[in-house]
Amino acid sequence: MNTKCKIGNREITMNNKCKLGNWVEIHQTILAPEERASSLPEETRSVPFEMWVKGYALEESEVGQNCRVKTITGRTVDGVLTEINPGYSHSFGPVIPELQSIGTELREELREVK
Amino acid sequence: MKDLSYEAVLARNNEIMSKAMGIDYGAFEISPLAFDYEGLMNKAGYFLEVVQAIQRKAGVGNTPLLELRNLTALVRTYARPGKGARILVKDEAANPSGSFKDRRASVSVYHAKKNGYPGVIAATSGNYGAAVASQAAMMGLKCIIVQEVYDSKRIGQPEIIEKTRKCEALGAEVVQLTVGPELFYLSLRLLEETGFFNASLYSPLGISGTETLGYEIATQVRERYGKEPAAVITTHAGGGNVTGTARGLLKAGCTNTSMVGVSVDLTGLHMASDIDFNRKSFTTGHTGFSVPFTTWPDRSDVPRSAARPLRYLDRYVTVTQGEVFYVTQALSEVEGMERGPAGNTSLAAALAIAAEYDQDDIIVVQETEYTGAGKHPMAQLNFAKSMGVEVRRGDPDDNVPGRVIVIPQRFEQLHVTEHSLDKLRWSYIRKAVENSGMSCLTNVEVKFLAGETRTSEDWVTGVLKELGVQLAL
Repeated sequence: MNTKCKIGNREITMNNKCKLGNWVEIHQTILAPEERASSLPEETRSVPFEMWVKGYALEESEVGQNCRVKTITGRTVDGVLTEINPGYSHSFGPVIPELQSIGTELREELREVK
Repeated sequence: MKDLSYEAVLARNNEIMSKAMGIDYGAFEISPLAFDYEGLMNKAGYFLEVVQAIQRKAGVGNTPLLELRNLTALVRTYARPGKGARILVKDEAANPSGSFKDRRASVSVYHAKKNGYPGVIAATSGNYGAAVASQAAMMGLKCIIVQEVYDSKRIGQPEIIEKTRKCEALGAEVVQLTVGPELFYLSLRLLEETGFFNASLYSPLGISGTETLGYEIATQVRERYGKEPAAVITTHAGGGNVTGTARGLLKAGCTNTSMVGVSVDLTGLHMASDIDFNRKSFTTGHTGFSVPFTTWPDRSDVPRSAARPLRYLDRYVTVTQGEVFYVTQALSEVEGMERGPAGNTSLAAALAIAAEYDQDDIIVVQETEYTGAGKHPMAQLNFAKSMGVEVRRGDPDDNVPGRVIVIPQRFEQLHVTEHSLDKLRWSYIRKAVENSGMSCLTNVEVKFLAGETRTSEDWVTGVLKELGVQLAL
């Protein structure tokens, strides 16, 4: 089964199944809420402590199923497959109006000094 | 198979750390409270000349020292007549991975390689991860970076996501975690599993690596202006930047230079809170690190932190998030340098502090850092808005961490809030006594505490008496 995902204006079809050797991301719960330190704030103590790592799939799997991976440093890690070819979508976003005019204001001040 | 439960792993902390660092911290302990700090730095760190040679080979350091002429001119427009020091900036973004952290990483990774470790591990969500990854790539070692990235809804600060990307781009394995101090537990597990070196930010190696920064500032200012800097303004979080830079300045003979630490004020936001995590618009250089680490340096991931800011600070101030975003935009548009934002924390303070000094004085902003997608005022303010934080122009005093980011309306509104070093020293002494478990202190501890707080034995004795600590002097 495939899912569709939007990155910017582009719609990308993502494959939910990974093949041997695909670059993937897996998830593991490290500590369940009841295993977490009692000194933590309530909102942190009541949620699990989770981990994501990336690596080459050592077996065929699909998103939501277990998958063993070999990380870039050569470690073997087990987890639940979350993504195939995981990438990055962080960017800059729209202009911040509160910052936009600062340069103009300061250049104006500097013109008066010089 | 070893027991990997939380309790079992933490119980093996000393054993794991000892193998992962090869430093016998116990050899420097003098009593349950005191230790030989200079002994640790001299025997477990590297001498300045050696650090310089390591860094030259790694392409680290010798960064440009640039004069901020337009910002200096702006300061002078509102400073009292004759006031408004010349402001210089050490462009640390010119290091291979884009920040001064390459200095810290270069020595640790060199040491790991020299001692036959197959790889390095660092627990950091900051620029240090990229620095370790970069140096490891250069020296042919494997590298794992452990980062606190997401809240429980898997929402991450764009700034940290960018740092994940950068570390992965440099060939490192990144272990991404949700909020919580259990990051330390997972790091221990990874050190034990891999046998890699713990490239801690707080080892004597990392701190001796930063000494070149202070040393270069002193040398460059002297060569060009024939004098010492009146003040060096340093972004302060875990204390390594302040400690290393100050030690380098002292090694260059700058005994009259004022060492000013600056943090972004994030008062009220809890560092281990799943909710507050994404209400911070700065992930480093803020009070959430600086206050706990200044008042108790040994909370770090090594038995004794080599970063001990109270030994070196002459002054400690805070600025607001909005002021740092404002000066980041100013640096970009009137000086032509797109850098930061977190690394511009010290710049924000410098623009206020410069007005206190004479025009022929020199003050140095001791770092810049790389910028890019995610790690940029636009990304961070858009993210803040999406988390319900209000962003507006106005009076920086109206800034409320996690609720309102106020971008100053005018340049002259830039200011610093002073924090009493004596109050921090008190807090440090109280914690040092509590954590030592000692019920009666002697001259040995008093002398140590005087060194730790850069005060006198009389002053420390007075504080201990007021705290009701038993003394056998």
